[in-house]
Amino acid sequence: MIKIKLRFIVVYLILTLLALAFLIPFIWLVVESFSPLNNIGFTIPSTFTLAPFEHVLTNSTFIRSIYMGLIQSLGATFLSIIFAVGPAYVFSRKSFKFKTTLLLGVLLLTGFPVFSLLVPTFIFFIDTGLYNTVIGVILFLGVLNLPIDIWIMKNSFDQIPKSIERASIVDGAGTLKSLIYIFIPLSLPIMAVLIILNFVINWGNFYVPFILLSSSHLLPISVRIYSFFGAFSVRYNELAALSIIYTIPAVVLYIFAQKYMIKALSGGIKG
Amino acid sequence: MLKAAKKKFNMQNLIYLVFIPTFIYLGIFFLYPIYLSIKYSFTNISLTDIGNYTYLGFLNYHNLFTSGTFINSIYTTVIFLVVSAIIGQMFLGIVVAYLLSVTQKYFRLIITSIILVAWATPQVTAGIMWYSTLSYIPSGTVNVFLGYFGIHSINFLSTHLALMSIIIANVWLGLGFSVLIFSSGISGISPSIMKASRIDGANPFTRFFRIVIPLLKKSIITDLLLITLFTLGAFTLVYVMTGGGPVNSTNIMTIYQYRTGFSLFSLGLANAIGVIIIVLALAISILYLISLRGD
Repeated sequence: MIKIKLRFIVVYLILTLLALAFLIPFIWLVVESFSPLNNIGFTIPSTFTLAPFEHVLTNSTFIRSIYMGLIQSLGATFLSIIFAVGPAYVFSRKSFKFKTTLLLGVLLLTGFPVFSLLVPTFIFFIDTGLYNTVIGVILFLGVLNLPIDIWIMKNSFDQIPKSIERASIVDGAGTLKSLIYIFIPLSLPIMAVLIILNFVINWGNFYVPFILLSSSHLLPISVRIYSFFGAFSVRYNELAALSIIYTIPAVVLYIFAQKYMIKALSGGIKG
Repeated sequence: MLKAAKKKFNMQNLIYLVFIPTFIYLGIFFLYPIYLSIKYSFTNISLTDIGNYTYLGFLNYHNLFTSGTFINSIYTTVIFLVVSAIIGQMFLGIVVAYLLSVTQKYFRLIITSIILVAWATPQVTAGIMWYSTLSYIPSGTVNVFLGYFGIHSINFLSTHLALMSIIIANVWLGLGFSVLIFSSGISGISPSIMKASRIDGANPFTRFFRIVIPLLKKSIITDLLLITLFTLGAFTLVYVMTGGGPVNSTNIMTIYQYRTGFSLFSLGLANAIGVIIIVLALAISILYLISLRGD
């Protein structure tokens, strides 16, 4: 009995230490963002201040980058969801020739190393005038999430029982009516989670706008933070404050939506 | 009767039209860039003059595989993949998920949340945080803590240690994903199996290696595929922390591709690197599909 208790204490101890280690990188970010000092290293200041946050939130460049981040993330989210919902519905509800092949194709694109496509897309966008435009970034960010959205949506639709739809059709509703009154309301929670996930992924994306944009006034907050970090003389406390403003919505939304994603990701290709 | 049936048949088929806009969108902005990257990988297209290029055949590929920098980049990527993805995230992920499964509910929730916050942190922020945390001059958090114990400061981002540092940062970032996958896998193992093994006198280590790991096979393959692909495509965290340096010590393939295209202006060569990354990713995905079919 004592041996078992000791074993449990060790487990709790290991996990607690691991969690504490996971918090270490956040220490500088939080302390520095409330610090009057300006230091990339770690020092505990004698006083704390809200000035870094005030400076960041009254700086029109930063406000604009938040606005740009929102437009680009939301625009891309809208495109991915709109283009994913139809195919996901058909994949889930119909059986047809080449279905498995098409699903395998979608799955392969889901795991595609998209970073390697930035170079050809850069050339393509310069040729077509989409380079350095917000719409170009939205179009490319949107297409990147499309395969995984089709995949997650199809798996989620699979979990909506077909019998409910069938019952409504027997009761005299057409396919379209059953779609509007039965299927769409039942799939709204899935949509909400997917919209959140897409937004967070786009909000966190750095390399797409970094490579496809050049004008300073178009840069979203992810790229703005990086160029602020790489500038000649950096006010690190403001950098930390801006990073916190950038990070908190992503973390809160992600944790909220995460649980659902794992369940949908691990669905099967059959059915 | 026949007419009505035919009409119904046509109406039923109309629904397949929803594929068309999606295929056009995917075709233009996903598949066409894949085609372009293959096409340009055989040219000498340069950032200075995108309109003018000539075909070189396999010269770019030949130059890559005879270049010490590229071979070094592959080597760095493999170490990064094996240590960070397979050992750091997958193996540690199973261990942590297993340990968490025997702890009390609220404790488990708190620890999981902390690990998940790291996973949810945008990579730009993570890169800046880790850069500061490991800073040498002035001392970052880790070196300040080491100082409390009387240990000399360590230059974590030096040529010798930078690769280890980006591996640690990447494990920190990615562990949450594996823990989530394995936690849901472990919760699917029937408690009666665990109980039976306990009655049979299996110690926790035997139980872990003989029961938990074999039963998690499907989770392990899924996790392995996804984190290998994530890690192969990783860019932002490493780029922010080290930019591939010092002296190419963290020059993973994505960073090498970026630098070749946008610092050295050799877009043709950069496309060839991209194609090699794509082929590697496809090979990994196909291995995954084959190993799942074996079940």
